[in-house]
Amino acid sequence: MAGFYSGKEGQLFIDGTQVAKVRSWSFSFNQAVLETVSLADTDRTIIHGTRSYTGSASVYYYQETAGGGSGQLSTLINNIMKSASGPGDGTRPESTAMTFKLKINDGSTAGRFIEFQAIPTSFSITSAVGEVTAADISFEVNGAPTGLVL
Amino acid sequence: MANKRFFPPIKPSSRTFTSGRYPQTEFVAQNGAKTVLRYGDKQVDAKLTLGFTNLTDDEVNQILNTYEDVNSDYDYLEFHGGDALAGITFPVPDTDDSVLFDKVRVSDGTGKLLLRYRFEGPPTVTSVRPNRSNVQCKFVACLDGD
Repeated sequence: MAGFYSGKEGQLFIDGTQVAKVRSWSFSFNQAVLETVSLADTDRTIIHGTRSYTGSASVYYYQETAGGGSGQLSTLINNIMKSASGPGDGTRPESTAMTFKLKINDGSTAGRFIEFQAIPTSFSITSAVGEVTAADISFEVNGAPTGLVL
Repeated sequence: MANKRFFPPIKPSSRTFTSGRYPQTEFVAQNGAKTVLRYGDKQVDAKLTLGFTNLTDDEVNQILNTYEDVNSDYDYLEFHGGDALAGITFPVPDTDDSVLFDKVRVSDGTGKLLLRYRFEGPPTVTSVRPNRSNVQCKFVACLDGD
């Protein structure tokens, strides 16, 4: 299907399940370089260093039932934050790495997507008068993407 | 008989040279007066440090092989004609001018080595990523008795 894509075609999956109400997602690729400049050289020469990938998403806090959430945003929150057994408990398990899939629905069965395991590095949620409650998530990718169809 | 060995043609990314010292002993009296016993008029123990960044494994191996070759027979190093002194203006041929190149190489203006460079210690290899390492080599220029 020839054409442009917009946020209308954007989708976010966490651990294989689609997140219901996504406002936006973004993905960044960075390539570190190593200098190989030697004495008497006049121009900077470089070689490839390590690659890194980061991303972020903004998700509405949307729930279909009262009580504890069951959507993927709740899954993410429960993965990155572990409730204490009591006040002062400083030895809770580490956050769980999750699989993210950033997808553009192009009409095909699989769509176009980047899939990777990532560790959330920041999370913030804001509730304010006159605004829909939403959460902002940042994550860093562990290793290379496991799926790349773009 | 010590033989001359050439350093591999690898350009360093940094180079530090410390000129040789004059062999002498100083005696300082309680009133501050200084007496110097000078044992020779030739500089000794010039120091040269070469830093290499992001070398391939093959280049690192060349340096380590040179270290082994020089030390197994107590040979000495010649930096002329290689890349170790890259960036220093080459001396004008057939002149006696002791330009910086000759000073760092520790030779007189005619090409004769006044001192002989040897490794002060083993090269230090720091691996930074697959097939890339940083290497530091320290040399000391010795006044041989032969």
